[in-house]
Amino acid sequence: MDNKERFLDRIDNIIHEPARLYILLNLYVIESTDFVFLMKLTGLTDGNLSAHLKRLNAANYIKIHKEFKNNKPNTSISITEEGRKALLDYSAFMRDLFESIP
Amino acid sequence: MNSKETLRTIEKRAYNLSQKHGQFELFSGLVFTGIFSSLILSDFNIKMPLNLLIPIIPVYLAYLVINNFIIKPRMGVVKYGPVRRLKLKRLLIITLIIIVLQLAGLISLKLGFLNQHLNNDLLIASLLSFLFIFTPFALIAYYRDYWPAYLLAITSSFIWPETVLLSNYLDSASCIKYIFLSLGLFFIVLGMIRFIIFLKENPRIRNINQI
Repeated sequence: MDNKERFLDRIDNIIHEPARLYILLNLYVIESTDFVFLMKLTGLTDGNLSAHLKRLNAANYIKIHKEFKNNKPNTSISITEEGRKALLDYSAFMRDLFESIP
Repeated sequence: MNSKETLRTIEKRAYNLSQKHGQFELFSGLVFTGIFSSLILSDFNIKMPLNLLIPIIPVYLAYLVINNFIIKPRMGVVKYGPVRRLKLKRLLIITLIIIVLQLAGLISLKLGFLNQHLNNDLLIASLLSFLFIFTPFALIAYYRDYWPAYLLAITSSFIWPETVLLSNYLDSASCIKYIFLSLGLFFIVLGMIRFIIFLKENPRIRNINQI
């Protein structure tokens, strides 16, 4: 049980969720995007995307910049260095884990 | 498939999503019909560069209006990453080199250096049109991962045989005019179809709960 807990601790739960992983992968390859484009890109609803972005932002994996353009709210989203590192660590961990499977 | 290839697929998908609106085809089609109208205007003694600017300026303004008021509110905005920016920068440099080479070719023609060896105006004109359209669009297709540009490049490669065929019935100046018109109309129709599909698939988003 103790070993299992330790193993589970090593998995980054923020990234491990498929929608958040997909959001981070997309942000990894582009510089920044607004909320609408990210919604189209991921196929998530506004509420769902918003919830995932809040979690990623709380973990400091993404940076959310809000401004008003022509009196309309505009949200710019980009990945942080911490987010990039977390994604690479997650990828390395998963690769190591699955490499042992014959 | 390794992880780099997967990331490349994701990046390509993001890029292609931002290009689905048919603006490229519409813009290209309007530029071709613009060239056609500039050739018509030159028949009325309106000289270069005015005859080129008259059709191109409204096309460019229409592009800006459609982009800002129709496409962006529906599709959002994306800034591409360093890999894509490098690709686009390479495309720009190669296109500039090609433009300089083509200008040198045109100046040589004007000064009569090439005419001594190639006396067939029709062939020269059609070959230049082929180079001028095919090469940049093939490069755009390759560097921007943008398949409609391949279509444009391939279609434009028919300019030469088309011109030769049409020259049996029309003079060379009219051949070039009608080829630009047919290319323009072809891409306007293609662009309109893609634009309508885009509008259907992406209705204007109101009351969005942004973070």
